[in-house]
Amino acid sequence: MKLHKSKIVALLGAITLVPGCIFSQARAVEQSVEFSMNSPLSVTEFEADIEAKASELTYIDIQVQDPTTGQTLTFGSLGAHLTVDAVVEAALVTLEDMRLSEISKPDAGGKDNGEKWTLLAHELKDKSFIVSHARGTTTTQLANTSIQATIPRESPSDKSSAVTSTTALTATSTCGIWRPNFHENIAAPSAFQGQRYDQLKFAFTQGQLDEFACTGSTGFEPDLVTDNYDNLHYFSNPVVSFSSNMPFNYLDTNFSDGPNEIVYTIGTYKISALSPWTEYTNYIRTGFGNTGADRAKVVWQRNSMLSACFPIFGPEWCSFADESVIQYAWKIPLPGTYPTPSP
Amino acid sequence: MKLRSRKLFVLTIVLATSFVLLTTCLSVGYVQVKKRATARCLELATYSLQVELDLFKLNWRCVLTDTNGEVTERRVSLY
Repeated sequence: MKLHKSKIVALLGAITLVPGCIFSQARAVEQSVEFSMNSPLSVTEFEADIEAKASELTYIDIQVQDPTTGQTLTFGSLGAHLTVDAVVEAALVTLEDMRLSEISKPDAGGKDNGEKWTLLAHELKDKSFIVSHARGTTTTQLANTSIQATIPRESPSDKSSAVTSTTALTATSTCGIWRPNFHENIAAPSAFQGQRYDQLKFAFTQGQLDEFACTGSTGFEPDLVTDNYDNLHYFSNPVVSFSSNMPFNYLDTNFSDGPNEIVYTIGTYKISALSPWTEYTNYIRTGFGNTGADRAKVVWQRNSMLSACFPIFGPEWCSFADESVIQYAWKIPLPGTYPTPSP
Repeated sequence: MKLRSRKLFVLTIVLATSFVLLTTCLSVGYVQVKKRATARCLELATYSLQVELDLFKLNWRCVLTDTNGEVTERRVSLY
């Protein structure tokens, strides 16, 4: 029997490749891989398709409709062995922190805006919400998820970005004031023992949103930056729970931050979805840091998004600052309310 | 002829995938290095700042504006 050269090559290839493929597939089944879920699911679908099948969930965020304002609120949790129930518990703590901070204001006179908090708590307990994002590890391919690209984590070093020169320039600015108006920052111990929270409140005027559009930036990140030059910090890192009523929000990564200034950020990648005169509240909760008194500043950042990386890595890895504006540098007390409420 | 067109098809797929992966990796790398430069510039700023990549000098320009509107430029190395 005469065998053609191409047939011999094909046969040899099959002998080498087929067992290799089977072996690598078998290994892939056994190996735990990181995944992310970016398409919203109902709680029932999520619990059945993702929670029950994943080996570990490390990030979940849910979206709840505020029945009094119609706004969408995001509640997120980070940690180990997360479940929807754990996120609901964390969200209830967040609501309690927000409620307590509201009724403790002097102008509120201890008056409780009870209906709003009760309705939101009911929605959470009844699981009347959608699960918008999740991340974790799995040994099998899950429906509605994609394998997450992993990025190596390194500790940032000071020598990497040494200042090399200083030169005087003339001012350049084409658009007007695009930053929002700072309303309030509240830092306090959480209703959940052993944790502390921060609430940053701000709003845009129509003019500020117009100027923002003029700059061409599409994303916005309000940063709460805490002073760590003395290595003393009120909050620990990382964030364990967060909430925001900004549309298209995400919790930013601390990957590239330096050691002197610790940044806590919930950003939005679609500034055009923000409404004027609406008070936006960003809430983060962490464990205790190593001091009971610290200070902070606010940095407003307008951002651009790199479209090539956005669909794969998500907004927190793909947005970068076009311009930053600092306010109240080291004047914001942690804990405390800033500006101090008038009695 | 058929084999050649199949080879061409496979080559196109490989090249396209490589291009997408390379672009993606470069994008994430650029964003993270710029974020690091921004964090460093932020430590030097008092009011507002902009960070720009200067490929000719292989460093980042921090354009810092103070509350009086005076602008200064500082440079930080690429990495």
